[in-house]
Amino acid sequence: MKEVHPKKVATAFTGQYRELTFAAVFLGILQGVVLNLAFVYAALKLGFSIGGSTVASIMGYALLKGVLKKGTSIENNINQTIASGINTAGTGIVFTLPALFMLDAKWRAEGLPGIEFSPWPLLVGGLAGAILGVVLIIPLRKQMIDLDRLRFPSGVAVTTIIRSGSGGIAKAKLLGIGFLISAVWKLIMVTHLLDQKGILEHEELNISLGIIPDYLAPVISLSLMNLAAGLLAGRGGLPFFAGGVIAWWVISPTAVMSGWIPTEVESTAMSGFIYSKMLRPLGIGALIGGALMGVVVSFPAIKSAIRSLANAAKTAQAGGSKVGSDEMPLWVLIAGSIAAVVLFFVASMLTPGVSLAQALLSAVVGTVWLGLAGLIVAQATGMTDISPMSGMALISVTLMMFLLNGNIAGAMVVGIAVCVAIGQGADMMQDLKTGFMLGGRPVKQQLVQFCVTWIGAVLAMGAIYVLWKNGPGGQGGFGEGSALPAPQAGALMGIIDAVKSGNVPLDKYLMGGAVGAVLGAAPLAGLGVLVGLAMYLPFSITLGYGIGCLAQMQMQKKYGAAFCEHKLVPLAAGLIVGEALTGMGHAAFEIVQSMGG
Amino acid sequence: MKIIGPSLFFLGILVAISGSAKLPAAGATYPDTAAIFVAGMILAIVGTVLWRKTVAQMANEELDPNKDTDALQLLRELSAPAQDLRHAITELTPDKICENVDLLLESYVLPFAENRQQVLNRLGMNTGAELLVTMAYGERMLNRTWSAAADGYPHEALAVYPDAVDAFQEALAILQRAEEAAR
Repeated sequence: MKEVHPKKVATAFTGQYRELTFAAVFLGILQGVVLNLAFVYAALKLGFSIGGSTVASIMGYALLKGVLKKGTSIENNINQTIASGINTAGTGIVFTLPALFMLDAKWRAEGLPGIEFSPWPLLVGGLAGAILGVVLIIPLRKQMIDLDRLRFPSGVAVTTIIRSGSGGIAKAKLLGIGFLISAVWKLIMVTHLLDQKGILEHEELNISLGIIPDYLAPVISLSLMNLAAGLLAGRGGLPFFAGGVIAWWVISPTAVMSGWIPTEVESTAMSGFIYSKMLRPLGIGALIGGALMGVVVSFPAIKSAIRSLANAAKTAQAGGSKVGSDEMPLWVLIAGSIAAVVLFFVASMLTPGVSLAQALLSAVVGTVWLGLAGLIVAQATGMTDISPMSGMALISVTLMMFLLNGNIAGAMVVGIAVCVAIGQGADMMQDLKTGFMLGGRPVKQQLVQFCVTWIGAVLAMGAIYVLWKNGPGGQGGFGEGSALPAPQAGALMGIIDAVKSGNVPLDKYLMGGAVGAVLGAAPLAGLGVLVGLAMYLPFSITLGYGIGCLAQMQMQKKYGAAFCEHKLVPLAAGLIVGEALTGMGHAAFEIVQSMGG
Repeated sequence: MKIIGPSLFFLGILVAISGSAKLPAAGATYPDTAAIFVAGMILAIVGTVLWRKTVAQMANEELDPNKDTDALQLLRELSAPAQDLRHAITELTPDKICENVDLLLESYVLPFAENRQQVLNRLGMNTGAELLVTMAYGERMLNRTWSAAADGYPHEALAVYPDAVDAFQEALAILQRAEEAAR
């Protein structure tokens, strides 16, 4: 065979490898719009949302490769990046905005003055959040994917789906097996076939056997997705498990034995009391302290990553190194940050009752806090696949209510922006992880996300307005007593009420923050965030995840690293996808059923 | 000495969290166990300092070839097989390209990445991060080579594979410069 010089072949054909194509963008937007509207409705009804990357990648595979017959892996990566970006922007809004409508209606019904607010600052806040969410990821991509190599379990699962269509038949079979097991199991769980009061309820198994006291939280989540995230994390996820063990098997019994629980709390309600009053607020503090210290400790590496962004364009233009030449340039990071601060300022100024000084403070503090919250959520998602979004929304609204003298509408502008941004950031990181594993160009993913991210925010706000107006007398379309109870927004509403009455666990936030900072300074990467997250979450989740980590370590010891990479990863990816899709199907079924009845 | 730092650290953290868990009495801002919390924090901070010192000392010690994977040695060894594939890739079918890329990833690139902490410990944060970012680019280009070959676009695989090899060479040059500077 005649030898062909690679460059010559490349020059002749380079343009043909499909990546950022019209088909990928069109399909991504179409799927994103459908998923966004579906999940806004589902989140108002059920209180949770799903990323959408898995659905988008499977549909992308079917349509780009199956129907168009010319799709590629990285083209599908672009499609799922767009779809999940539009979808996730809606999640940030549906967890926050409805609280404003519900609180206004509640206060008016109680004869109190309602909340004066206009939709425009909220929309501007949502757009600022969407922009900053993508901007924030520019330096974080290098830090978390290139340097820290965080696992991002959902990103790995999506990669396995996309790659299974590109020649990985053996892996595709394992993915399918995992999918089937998880889908059937989830179906059994959601139909409550095995439920037994006090033993198996709400997809959790009580393992107390009537002996272990309630304050040791003897409950394990039966989510195979949770177990699979642990299987993917392995040894790296152990600090998360350890954090849960410390919280529930050391701190909780200490609190009970020392008589720190009020006598009026019944023994069956102890775990709930310990969780909501002690561990959860401490966990939120530890998350923030851990993330802040993480920035300090890895500052030289972050500086190096930003410097390499700055140098990349220059060296590529000069014909030097190509490293970093396909990244979003540094000026976008700077310009995007400035644009977001301006948008924050404008949004605050448009809010009734906010002064110029307060708007300035809101813009600067809001942007800084948003960056930190984004870092926390991206790290937590990268290490465990779990996003502490509601905790960050809580802190955002609390912080801004303090700064804005109790102006709820003004605080909500920042709350919405933070929720949209951290959702975008975490989702984008998962998609960039997929892109890394497939060999995509990050600049193309970031560019399309920049161009379409606003669609999700606008759509979700429109949907919420329409649903609210759909209620009797042009209001009350969702909330307690309606067909759409909006549980997440209801929880946020309770927090705003608590802040108004001055009932904020400041001691727990501060002391948790100090513990998180020391944990973050230890020579074990991400310790503060992982332990904080473990305290913030119910122990049933941490326990299921920890069992996954221990099982992976045992299998790696017995069968080797190659076995884990080739057999365990696709199986675990299948478990994640199976539960996500079945959960989504069940949510759709519930909604259709409730419409019929 | 090796276990004193981590032991003090974990003990301090346990004491500090325990001290912070109690609810403040009515009208108070902090619980009456705040002194226990402060004592735990001091213990944990002392433990952190000792632990970090131990880690820094261990980073300067020679690796045990019988039990440690030497990340920098993997980088040095990667150069030859990566260059060999560069010369042979035009003769390979897409399946064989994927197979060879998998071999490079599993034998050198992924084990290197698994042991990246060694790189930071031995070269410092600045040079270490520069080297890791360069290697990550090379790995991404290897992944792109795999995807392009598996998708049926071997010409793209041929076009991007040299970028991966160039990145690995660049990483090796960073390492050599750091080693020369240290002499």
